[in-house]
Amino acid sequence: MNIAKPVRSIKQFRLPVIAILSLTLIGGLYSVINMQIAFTGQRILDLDERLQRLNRVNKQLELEISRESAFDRIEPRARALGLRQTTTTQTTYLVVKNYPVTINPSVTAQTTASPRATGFIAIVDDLLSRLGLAPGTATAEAGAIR
Amino acid sequence: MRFIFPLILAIGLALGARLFYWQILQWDLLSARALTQQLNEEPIHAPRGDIKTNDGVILAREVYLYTVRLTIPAQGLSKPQEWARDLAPILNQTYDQVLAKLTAKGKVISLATDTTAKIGEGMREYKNTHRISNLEITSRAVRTYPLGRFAAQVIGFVNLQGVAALGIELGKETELRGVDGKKGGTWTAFRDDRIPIELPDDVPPIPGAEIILTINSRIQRIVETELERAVRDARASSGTIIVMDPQTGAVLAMASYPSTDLNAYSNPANVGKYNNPAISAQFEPGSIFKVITIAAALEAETISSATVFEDNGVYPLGGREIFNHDKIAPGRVNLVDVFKLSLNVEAAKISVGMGAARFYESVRNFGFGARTRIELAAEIAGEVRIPGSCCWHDIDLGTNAYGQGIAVTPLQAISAIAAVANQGKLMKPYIVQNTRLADGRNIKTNPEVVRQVIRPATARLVTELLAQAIGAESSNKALVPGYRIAGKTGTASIPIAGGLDPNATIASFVGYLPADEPRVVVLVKIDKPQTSEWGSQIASPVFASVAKQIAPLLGILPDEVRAKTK
Repeated sequence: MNIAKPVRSIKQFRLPVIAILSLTLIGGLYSVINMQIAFTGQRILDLDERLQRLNRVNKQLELEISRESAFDRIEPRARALGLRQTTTTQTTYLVVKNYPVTINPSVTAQTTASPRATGFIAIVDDLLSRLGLAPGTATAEAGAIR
Repeated sequence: MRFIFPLILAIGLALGARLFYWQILQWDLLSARALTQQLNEEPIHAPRGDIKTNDGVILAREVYLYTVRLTIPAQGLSKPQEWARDLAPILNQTYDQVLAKLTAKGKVISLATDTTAKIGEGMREYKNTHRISNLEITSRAVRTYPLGRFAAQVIGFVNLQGVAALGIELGKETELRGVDGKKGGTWTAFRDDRIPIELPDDVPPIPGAEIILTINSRIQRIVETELERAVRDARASSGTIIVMDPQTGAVLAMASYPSTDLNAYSNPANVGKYNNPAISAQFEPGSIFKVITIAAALEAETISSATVFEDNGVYPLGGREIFNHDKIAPGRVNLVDVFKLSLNVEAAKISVGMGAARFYESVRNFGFGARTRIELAAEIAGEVRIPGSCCWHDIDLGTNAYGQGIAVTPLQAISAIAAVANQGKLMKPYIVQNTRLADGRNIKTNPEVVRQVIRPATARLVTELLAQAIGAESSNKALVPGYRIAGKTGTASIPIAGGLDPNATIASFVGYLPADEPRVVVLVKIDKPQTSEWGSQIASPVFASVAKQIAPLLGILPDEVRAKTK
């Protein structure tokens, strides 16, 4: 007598399949994340190395600029161009009265606060000054220089 | 068949037991071994800080030098012409030069040795782009001094082993050196690269601080040029010039000749040439010391501006006799004459009049016999013998008054004179203006008053006496057109075994300007000049030449112009 083996329904495999799929998914995600970390790590290392290399070149170039702009390099070139060192007797000093100028803050405050214009003109002035096209505070301060 | 299952089971159990042994029981041991193999720490070199002048000129910097080598196979390169065409512009060599190197067979050739970072990194880029495994690029950090012998004795040097010697390099070693970092992580079996299985956890290095000196490159250059010319013209053996701001003690220039290229420190011929005589060689200052003697006596009120002396040219002291130079006997003189004629006899009388205790106390107060504590390495204290100490004799009180029998450094001498120029305040000399740390902090050196040595009134009086003494002679070679100056010459004998050298002197001049508002002090010292022995002939013109060039650079207006602006 043959007894037919009972056919297992798909429902019976559902749980193991879900478990395997979940594990695969988690494993896959873990691998992807790890790979991303590895790639990012490698990129950081590469960029860091590149930065260091650029810094080295930059330092070398700065040094060359400094060397070329040193006086013992510039002087012969300047002399070749016909420039000569001045002596104290060749120097003429101009004495400017009340120089250097000083700003009086109290006067400045008064000036800026003074009503230059009112109403519509003031609004237009303000707009123009914001656009950098009209006399603004800087001019008012300049006016206060004594 | 029935034995198979038990056999498999037995093998499985045996394997399981073995695995249990290694994986569980030996876990600690093996994991530690694995970590030792995988994990590695490599130091990351901290770059040494730059040394710069106060106007931004780089005096010392660490750079990388590259060496490029190529291993050529036994059969030679397949297309050497193509290689040469590609490599020549990167290596900054001609096509023919590169091609000549590439035609060698079966050996390692050097394409460039100790070349710049630009070339080295260019070659690395080429190697990476073309994946050339037989191209080797190595680099090493070296300290380089782009201006050669410029301010050489001030800077000092760092050798190939990274050991600092002399100057600022040694004096500021802690700040300049920085702290090395660490490169961690998991490494390949060959330890040549890291496996990026995690984000890098390096400890970055802390770069060394940048040191900004008070030295101004333009003033330093003027000083070095004038010094070299003076030493050569006078056929002297050596010389030193220092320029100082008397109000702060900042050293604006410090030069000694001869000097030599700092990059050639490994040359045995250059041993000893990097010592800085301005701080580490002592000399007998001679008559410039009379400024100190007279200032001290005026302060002690043992003399006054009205004091008159009778000088018969000789002064017996301690069983011996002191003479003026050339044995002159000028008769009735005042303090201006003492400076103008540089009278040793009167200087000796003045110090004896003060008494040894007060005289030596003043000398010490002016900073002699002690290090100034400038930031440079290898500074010495000089030698001031005092009563009761070894080798002091009664006559020393007299000879010390005109700068013989006392040993000072040029820096001590200029600092003491700067105190007279600075209303009697002795400033601590300094040469480091700023220390810029890697974290962005900027530590500025603040001028430091050591002590008030003499009263401002005394200082002004001494300045006036000095200015009158120099101004009295229209032919004085120290005169600077447009400026009233104060200063004093010195002609010192050089002590040798058994006495003084009859054939050699040290010619010096120390002066400052403008006399009424001193802004700069200059000390000139020329050793063993052959064309003349006198400070007035050898050192005074050098002072004038330096002063007239640096005054405009420092914004020091001529007296007439200054008077109009007041």
